Amino acid sequence: SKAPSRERPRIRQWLWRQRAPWNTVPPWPVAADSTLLSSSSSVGKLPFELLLSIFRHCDRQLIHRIRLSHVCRQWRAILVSTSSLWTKLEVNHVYQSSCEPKMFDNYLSCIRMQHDRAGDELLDVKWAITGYDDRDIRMLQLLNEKDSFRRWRTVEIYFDEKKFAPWYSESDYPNLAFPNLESLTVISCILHPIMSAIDRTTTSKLKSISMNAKDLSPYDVDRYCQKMIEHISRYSIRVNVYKPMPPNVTTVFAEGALIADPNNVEFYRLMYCTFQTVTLLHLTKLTVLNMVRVQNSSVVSLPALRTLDCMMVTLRGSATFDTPVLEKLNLDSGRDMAAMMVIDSMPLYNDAAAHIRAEKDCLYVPLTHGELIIDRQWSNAKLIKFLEWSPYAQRISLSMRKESDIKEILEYYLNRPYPREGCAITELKIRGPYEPRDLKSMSGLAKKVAERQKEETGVEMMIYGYEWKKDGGYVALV
Amino acid sequence: MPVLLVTSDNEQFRVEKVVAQRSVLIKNMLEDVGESDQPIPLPNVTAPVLKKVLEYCDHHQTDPLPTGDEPSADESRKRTTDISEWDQKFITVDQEMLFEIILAANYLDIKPLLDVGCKTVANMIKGKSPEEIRKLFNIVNDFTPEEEAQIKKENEWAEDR
Repeated sequence: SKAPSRERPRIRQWLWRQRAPWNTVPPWPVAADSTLLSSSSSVGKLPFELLLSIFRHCDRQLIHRIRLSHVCRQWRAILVSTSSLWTKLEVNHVYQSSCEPKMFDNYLSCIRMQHDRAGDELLDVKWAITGYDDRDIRMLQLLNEKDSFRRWRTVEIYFDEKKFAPWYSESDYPNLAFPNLESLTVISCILHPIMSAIDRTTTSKLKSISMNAKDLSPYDVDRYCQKMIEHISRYSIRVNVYKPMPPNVTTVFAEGALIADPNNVEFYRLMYCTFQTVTLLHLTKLTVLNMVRVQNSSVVSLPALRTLDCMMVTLRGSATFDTPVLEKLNLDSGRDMAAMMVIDSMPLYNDAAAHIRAEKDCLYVPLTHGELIIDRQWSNAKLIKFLEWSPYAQRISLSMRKESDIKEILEYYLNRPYPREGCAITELKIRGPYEPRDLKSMSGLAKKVAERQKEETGVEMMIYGYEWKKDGGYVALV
Repeated sequence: MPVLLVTSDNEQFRVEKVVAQRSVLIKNMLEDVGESDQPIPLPNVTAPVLKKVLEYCDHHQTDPLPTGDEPSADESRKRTTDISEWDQKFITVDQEMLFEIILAANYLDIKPLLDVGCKTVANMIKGKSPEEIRKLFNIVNDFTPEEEAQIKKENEWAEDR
């Protein structure tokens, strides 16, 4: 009778020891520390479902799954019988175009095997079209034969070809369909006719489109994405968005957008955008990077906007931004570039180029209540101007350059006029390059500031300094 | 009120209820039994392992409890092998202990600890060939000659990369 499988290698070893010369390489794998004989492996204690949990945490790529299935019989049995472990499909274009013909055949076999192992599971796909030789055609034939496209759930497509290679035509594959597609990403310098098959056959399951396609023309996008765009709620694109957003779209990331029509967008993240006179009733969050163009004298009404993040913003043109419920204005920038923001003709950046200053750009973003974060080190004159201009901010967070600046700011608060009710600050946080002992010297002045506000408005004010040490943080001064 | 836990090797651990209840198994037991000073037997866990597990529970006692729902398809797709710094230090133990912790976390039903354990093993496996994995965990290659032939075929693509 057969020895139990665990015993067999030991027996093989014993037999080999009896007759092999001492320096022969053994015909089986040997553990690094030669402890094979005492082979009660710790990992072997884990039950099936725990090994499966570990495999789920491992790299999802096909090659890693295959390697795991080559370790031992137990692992192979778990991997081969669990279809959900085989759902990441990557058609690798570098490999596809560079390998030997024989290796490409093997590659196709592995893709075939993966489809068999994945069973009916939906697939997450990276698909690269190379335009190399007949390889795209053969891959397409295989995927079609395996009824792969119907099972695609998320897709990233790379088109690496500069011209339309004849590997796909509608008439050859009239039934190509993508009914389970939830998310589509296209990275390309062109859009391919296969996009119309995707467009024609997607359903309302499609929630998100992202196109990282630098040289794409708006014309191409229109040509291929009409039906898709009707379904989606999230739209991310690097071409000019020059037309109104469909009503279902609520999140837009765009480069070069023209915002000229009312729509349902709740969150815009924009680079190089242009505003015309428009009312955006649903917009609650706006992030702008780089340049914003506004047409002179236009009025941008953002009645629901609560958060405005500006990173390295340069403004061109002059406009009024009406933001009655803005709660958080975050003026942040990694580097103090020649960006500038001008309020009431006063440039907030000294280093902005003179010719930009001369354009007399201006932007009004009245902050009526809520939080103001200025995480950059402006000169005190700029900062105080800005603070005067936002008298209703309730929580303010500032970064300072010198200890004397901090004193100056506190003195500004001590002596500022209190024009109306509602001008009370509940929390003032000041970061600066000071030592813990300086905090003490500041607390006297801070106390006076808080007392004055209490007298004028009846509202308590918390003032914090910042301690620079490893677990540093804000320290109450009052 | 503290809870008394008894390990398989008969050692007793007195811990705060809030710490012990990181284990869904113990939490359910306490709910079933109600207020009682009866010790809770844990026949599948030894003292050194329980000590380690309780160290984890103590550090994470204020974390929000997992809801118990299975992660959605979306979440499981996004699953990463990131582990927080404290957890990484905590889980730097010998292999024997690592697998004991995984078994205990599974038995005691402490999902976040189980995840940390499984992710750690997944990280150990990362980028290794089947042979290296066998060496790492002292696993015997027990494939039959027929299976070896099949594996060799699969390897023609996989090992060329």
